[in-house]
Amino acid sequence: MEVKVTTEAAATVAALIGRLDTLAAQEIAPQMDELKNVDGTLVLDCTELSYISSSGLRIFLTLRKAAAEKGGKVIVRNISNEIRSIFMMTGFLNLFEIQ
Amino acid sequence: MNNLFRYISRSISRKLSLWIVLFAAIIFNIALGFMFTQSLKAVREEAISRATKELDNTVLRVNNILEMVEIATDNTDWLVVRHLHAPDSMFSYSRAILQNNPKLNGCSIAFEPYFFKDRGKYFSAYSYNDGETIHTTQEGNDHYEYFYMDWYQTVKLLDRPGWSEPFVDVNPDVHTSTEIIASYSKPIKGKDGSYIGTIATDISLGWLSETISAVKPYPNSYSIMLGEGGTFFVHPDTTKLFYQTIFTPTLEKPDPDLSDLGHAMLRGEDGMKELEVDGVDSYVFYKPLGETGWSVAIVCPESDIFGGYNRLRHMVAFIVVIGLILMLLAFSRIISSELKPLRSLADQTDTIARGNFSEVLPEENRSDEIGRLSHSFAGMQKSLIRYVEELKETTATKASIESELKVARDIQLSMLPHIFPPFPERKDIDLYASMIPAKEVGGDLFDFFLRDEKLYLCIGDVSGKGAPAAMLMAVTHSLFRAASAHESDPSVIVHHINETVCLDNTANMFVTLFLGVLDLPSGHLRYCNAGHDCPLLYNGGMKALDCLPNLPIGVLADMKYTTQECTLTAGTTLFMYTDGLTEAMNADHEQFGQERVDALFAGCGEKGMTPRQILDSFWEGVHGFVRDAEQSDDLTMLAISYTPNPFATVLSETITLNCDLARVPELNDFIFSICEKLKLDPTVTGQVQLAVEEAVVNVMNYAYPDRGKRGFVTVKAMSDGHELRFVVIDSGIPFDPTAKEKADTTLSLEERPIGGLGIYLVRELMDSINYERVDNRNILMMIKNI
Amino acid sequence: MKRLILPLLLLWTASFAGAQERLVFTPQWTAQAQFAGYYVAQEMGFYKDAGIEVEIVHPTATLSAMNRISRNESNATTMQLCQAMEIIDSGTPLVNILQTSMNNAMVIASRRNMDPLSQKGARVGIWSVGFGQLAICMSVKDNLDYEWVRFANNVNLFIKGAVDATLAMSYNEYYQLVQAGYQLDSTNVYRFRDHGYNVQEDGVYVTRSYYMKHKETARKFAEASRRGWEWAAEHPEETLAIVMKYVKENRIATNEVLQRLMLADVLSLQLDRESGKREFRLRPDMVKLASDLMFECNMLDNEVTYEQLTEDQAHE
Repeated sequence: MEVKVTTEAAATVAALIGRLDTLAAQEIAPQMDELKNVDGTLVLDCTELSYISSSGLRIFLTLRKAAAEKGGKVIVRNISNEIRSIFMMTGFLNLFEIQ
Repeated sequence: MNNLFRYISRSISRKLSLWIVLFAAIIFNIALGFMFTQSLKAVREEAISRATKELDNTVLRVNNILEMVEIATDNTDWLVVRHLHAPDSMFSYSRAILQNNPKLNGCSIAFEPYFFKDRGKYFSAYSYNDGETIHTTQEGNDHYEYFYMDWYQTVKLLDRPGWSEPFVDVNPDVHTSTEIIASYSKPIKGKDGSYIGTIATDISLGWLSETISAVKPYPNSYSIMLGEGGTFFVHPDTTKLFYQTIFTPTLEKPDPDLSDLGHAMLRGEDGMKELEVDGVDSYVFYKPLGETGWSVAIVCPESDIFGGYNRLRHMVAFIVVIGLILMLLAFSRIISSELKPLRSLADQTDTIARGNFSEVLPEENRSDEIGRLSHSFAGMQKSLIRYVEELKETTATKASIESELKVARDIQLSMLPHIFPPFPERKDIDLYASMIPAKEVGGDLFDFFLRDEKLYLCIGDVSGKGAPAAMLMAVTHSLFRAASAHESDPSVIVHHINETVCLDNTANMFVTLFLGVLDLPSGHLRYCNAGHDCPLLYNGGMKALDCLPNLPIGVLADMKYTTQECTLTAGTTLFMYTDGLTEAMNADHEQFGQERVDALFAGCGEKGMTPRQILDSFWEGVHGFVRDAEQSDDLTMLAISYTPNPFATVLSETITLNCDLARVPELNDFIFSICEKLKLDPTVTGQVQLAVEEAVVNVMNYAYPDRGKRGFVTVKAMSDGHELRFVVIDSGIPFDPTAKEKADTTLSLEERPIGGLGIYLVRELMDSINYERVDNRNILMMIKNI
Repeated sequence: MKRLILPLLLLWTASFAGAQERLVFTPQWTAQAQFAGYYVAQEMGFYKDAGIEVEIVHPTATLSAMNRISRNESNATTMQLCQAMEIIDSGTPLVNILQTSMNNAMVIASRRNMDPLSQKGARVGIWSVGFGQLAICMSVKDNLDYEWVRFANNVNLFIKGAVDATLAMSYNEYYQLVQAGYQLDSTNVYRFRDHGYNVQEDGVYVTRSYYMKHKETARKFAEASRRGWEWAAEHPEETLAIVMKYVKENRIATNEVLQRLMLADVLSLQLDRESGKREFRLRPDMVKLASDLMFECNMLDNEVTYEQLTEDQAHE
């Protein structure tokens, strides 16, 4: 699992690559905590995210809550159909701006 | 006759007056009877004393005269004896007697033939008084041989003085006049005491006849005198005089009474006899006449003696009869008029009975029973009117309550499962249940639902019936649903229900409840009984499920309920019911009974009936028993047949991991390889991977708080080609993930908790999940149809 | 004591000897059913039919029938056979022109309740007018030594107790005793006819001198009398009425009851015991019996035969 953080215009883009299972979620937790401090728009690029467990979803939600406190926003980009269906199940589609 | 009885019995006045008159008649009869018997005695005694007295007086008078004759004769006797030497002096003696005693008719001084040798055969100095002069003559001659005459011979033969039988002196010149004559004769004795002749004195008995005939103590009484031969010498019927004796009638027709009387009189007795004389009932008083041998009697017709008495009696009887009739009429009228208000009351009542409540009753100002009856009737009528009004209101109210209750009933019934079969898609379970309330709404309940692979079911009975029971039933039902939403341990569920029910149980009602949770894959049945009838089991044989009785719900708040368990084998039928079944009563108050239930269920089991058929046959059985009797209690039945699905394993692999999240990729690989083998498409594979990972991670994170990574979790994957099963097993603390509340995915960002999505995802991704804690292990099964 | 002096009608007899033959008949006793046949013949006109004029004159207590016959005051009389035989024997020839009785009616009634035969030396009443020859014979024959007390015409001696027993006719005194209240039955009544003394009684007799002069009249009288008896047997109630008429006319101290009984008894005595018929004949055997008995008892100086009694008839 790998997280690549880049900056695009006014947004910070974090590209999540690989399987975000429970173990991976534990591993990337420190990196993700940093992203809580991002001002403005945070884009989570899921183009290469193949799998997400509930731990991963927790990270997404944590980020989203942190952004909401600061008035920023979180955009989820390019989620696969499988993940989209997970988002749908969990009501995440309503919480996130999906691109 | 019957008509008469009916006529009398139809009216109180007739009956009552008849009774009164009947009693009066009896009392009159007794009183008058006594009075008449006594007066009869008195009259009789009076008659006897009166007649006897008259008779005594008469006899005394007659005797005086007869004695006079006797004395006169006696006085002459000694003169005769002293002058036997001078036969001619006899003429003067016989004459002297008549001169001295004008009442005497004649006197003979007669001697035995040839007594005076010089006078020849006949010598009888005879004087007689023809009323004017006294004639004296010698009367014996060849044509009148006086010594053969009774007057002469009798005293000679008897050697004592005496009276002859009276005889009739016929005067040939005066044919119409006859005179009764009697002679007093006395033997004349010579100096040597030998009999020499008879001195006889005649007296006409005309005066005697008159004297005796004059004795008439009663208007129709008469006197008779009998001679010594019974001949009548005094009798009002002159044809009988001299010609008949008292015995004459008995020669033709025996008459013992008359004979007795005659004999008594001839014996010279003194007395009284009652007999029929010449066809008339009479009292005959008789008495002898001195030494004559004659007897005098007074014949008094009974009708004379008792004439006044009988007239009085008839008069009184007549008055009594008339009086009784008048009494009957009067009483009948009085009672009838007294009872008139009753009759009109009866008419009014009829009118009222026909529904005319407002009919005005007659005003009754009497203070007696009838008045009171009228008053109470009027009161009753008022009450009736009021009551009818109230009844109308009540009926209206009741109708509205009834319609409300009907709605309640619909609600209640709709609250319970009512679509059968409830799980048409499932092959392992068939279930049928019904609840028939005795009233509109009932206190029985049953419920069941499937959660995961578990069938939650309950059957219960609230104490009491009707609306209050229905309320508690609804409460219990809701509590069951609520408590079993996240709990699969029956005792815990029951405990929850009990706690809540007890909380506000001011009505002190209680519920018996049987609650079970059947794990369908394994057939594992866990149950808790709260005072309910034990369900019946059939699996080749019938038996009752072993149940602890426990206390019903609502009795004791901190009651500890215990879960019992057993395993149902394939083909088992479970039958649950409320006591409305065993206690169903017929018209004779006989209960349907446990024996019948057992026998019937055993029969159903033998025939392999489906739950629906079982309930139908129970219905039939109960109806056949109860027939027309009103249903006494709510009746609820629930039957389940259990046949677990067969599972032909084509794949079975197991992996055991310690509780280290680092082992998760291994798990993923294991699952991936399984999916590969089953050639599942990637989406399904992804879903299965995620679900299993979430379940296992859940165990890893929470199952062993004390052991941490040293705990183990085993994942077993099985497939029969149709479904893929994963069983996650751990021996950590009991934890039922299925009991977790379902995550709410609709909440806003701010409200959304961070966690809680894992189990939610498992449930969403798999077709079914099921948790079981067996042998201190948590067993979570997840099934995905492939 | 004087009493009963009936008018003497003796001279009438001669004065009426006119166209019709005339006969004065005197029964031997006062008017009663014993003579019913003659009353009937008279009342029913049988005598008139026969062409004779009959006058019935009853005897009195002081003037007996036989006295009247011997005085020629009456021409015919009834008599008991024994009595007739006694009279014939004493020199007054009589002819029986009609025999009515075929049986003996005499009885001895005891005053005590015992058999008269057992009362040796008892005082027994007997009629003063000369019936009872058989009883005297019997008393002698059976050594009973009865003391005979003659009585005039009633049962008063018996009633007064002056006699122990009395002779009585079964049709007359017998019933008078019953009427006086005596209970009579086989224990205290002796019936002669049942003890070898069944000698006929009543028959109609005339003196032989009369008979010789007036045979035809006597025959007619007998015929008409017999007709009277036969009629009486057939009409007992009518006969009784006729009897009662005579009884009343003669002021007899009797009554219809007694007369009815008497009539029945008299009629039954007329039936021959052997033939059962009213034979109206003297039975020679009975005549012989009576004659022998009376002869034996010194009541007859000579035997009186059947032929003597019926002499002339036998010759005709």
